[in-house]
Amino acid sequence: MNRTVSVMKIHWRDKWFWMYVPWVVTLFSFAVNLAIGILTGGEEQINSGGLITIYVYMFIAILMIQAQTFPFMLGLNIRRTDYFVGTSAMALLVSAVSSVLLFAMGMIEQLTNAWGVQLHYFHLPFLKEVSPLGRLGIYFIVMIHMFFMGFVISSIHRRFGRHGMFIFFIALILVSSIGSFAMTYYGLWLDSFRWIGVHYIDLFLWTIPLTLIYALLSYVLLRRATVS
Amino acid sequence: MNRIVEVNRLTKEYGRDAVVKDVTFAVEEGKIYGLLGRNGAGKTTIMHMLTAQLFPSSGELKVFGENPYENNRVLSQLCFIKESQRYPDSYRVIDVLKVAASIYPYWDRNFAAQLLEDFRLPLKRRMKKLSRGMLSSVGIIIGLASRAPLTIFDEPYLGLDAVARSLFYERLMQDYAENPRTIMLSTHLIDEVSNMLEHVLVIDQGRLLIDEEADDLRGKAYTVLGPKAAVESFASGKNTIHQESIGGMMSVTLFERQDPTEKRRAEAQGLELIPISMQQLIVHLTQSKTSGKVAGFQ
Repeated sequence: MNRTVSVMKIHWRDKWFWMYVPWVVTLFSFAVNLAIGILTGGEEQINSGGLITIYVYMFIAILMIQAQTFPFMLGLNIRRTDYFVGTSAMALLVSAVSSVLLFAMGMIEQLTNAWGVQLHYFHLPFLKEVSPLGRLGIYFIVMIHMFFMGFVISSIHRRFGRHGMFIFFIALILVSSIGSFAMTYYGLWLDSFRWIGVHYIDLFLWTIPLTLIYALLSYVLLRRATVS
Repeated sequence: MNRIVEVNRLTKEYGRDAVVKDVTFAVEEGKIYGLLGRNGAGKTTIMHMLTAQLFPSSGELKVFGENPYENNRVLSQLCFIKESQRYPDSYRVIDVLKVAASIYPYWDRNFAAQLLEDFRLPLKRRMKKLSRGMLSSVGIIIGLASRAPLTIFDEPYLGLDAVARSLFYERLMQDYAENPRTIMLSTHLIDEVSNMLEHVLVIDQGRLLIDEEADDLRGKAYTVLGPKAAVESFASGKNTIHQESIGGMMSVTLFERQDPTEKRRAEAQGLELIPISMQQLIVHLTQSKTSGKVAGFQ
């Protein structure tokens, strides 16, 4: 337990990378959108989608964080398990804080009537029907999903090296091509889009088991990973 | 004596290549060990396995009586300073030292501060911008100030100048006298450290060649110099590890304990018996043409 906290403290030395940079980027992107909204006098409705930045950032950040901190911490004789638990806890914490901030910004957005210029940035229109708590939850589960997706990919790299990555991506491309071919063959595309159109909230929920699988895989891979 | 490391038939293979073959040795508490050998001999691989950063292909490995893999009871007692240690890009010298202070249970803050001054490290400089020598100094400070019961230094002074190296030896011996622990040192600069070492392990091509007390090893080899015929007759039947001849003169290095009566006899024949340094001995032993022959020894 003690060492897990040490791992989190080591991560927190890089608070810029974990927390500040994604928010600086997101707020900057928001400011640009807001400026456009003001310049257009709020006549056009803007559905920015800029929110995606912070999610993509989480995915990429963990690739870099693991590449740099795993060899460093193993070199300090930290257990692989402590590294995994500490890093995951850190990600949960950062995601929780970011989700609350996103949620708060979404509330402000609603209260200010889309910043007065019809700018929908934090409060996504397609989540209108979801309860506030549900919205907060969706921000959170999608973010940790992005994180663990990055974590499992960097763990494959850590465990099996470049060749492992190569095989993994070839397999991924094969599976998705075959899958998409099968979808076309059986004429399932339209049906599935229709299904998504109605059930997209379910899709968010489905990230939970996926996230758990990624986390478990990352742990199993890291347990056998080495550094030199 | 308490054995804190026990290695039994340890082997590490990469595909068909065995980097470490069937190595067996033990490390006793409270001594300075030298792990010596040429580049690629397998020293670093052995140290990585001791610290559970690499996995053995076969064989047994016990550190403080337990398997070190994912074992905090063992890992918290270790400090492994390696040349290839990597640091996060954003880290400055001070960040690394703060992390080390929070990780190593026996960390001595004052000692670290004193070493920092000794080695003149710029605290605020990023690790990425340090010269090779400075990077080594950071490792040395961590290794010394961690006061880990088993401290392992792998080529700790790459790029360090002679002043800094002797500073390292000095501080190491001083602190070792005040705070006894077990130290394992791997290096190429055998002459520089040979006086500090209490026990020597020599690895060559993945195999353990020598496992001896340093004092025993020092008396174990010598060079005979003199006229060719006399040297040849003296050396016949003895374990020759090196020979050279120039004109009618010949010098032969023998890997044997000196026998006092023989010594007198040799000197009467006009032969000169010269002790050799540990470095010379190891160079002779690990030169490929002789290494196979001596491997049977032990």
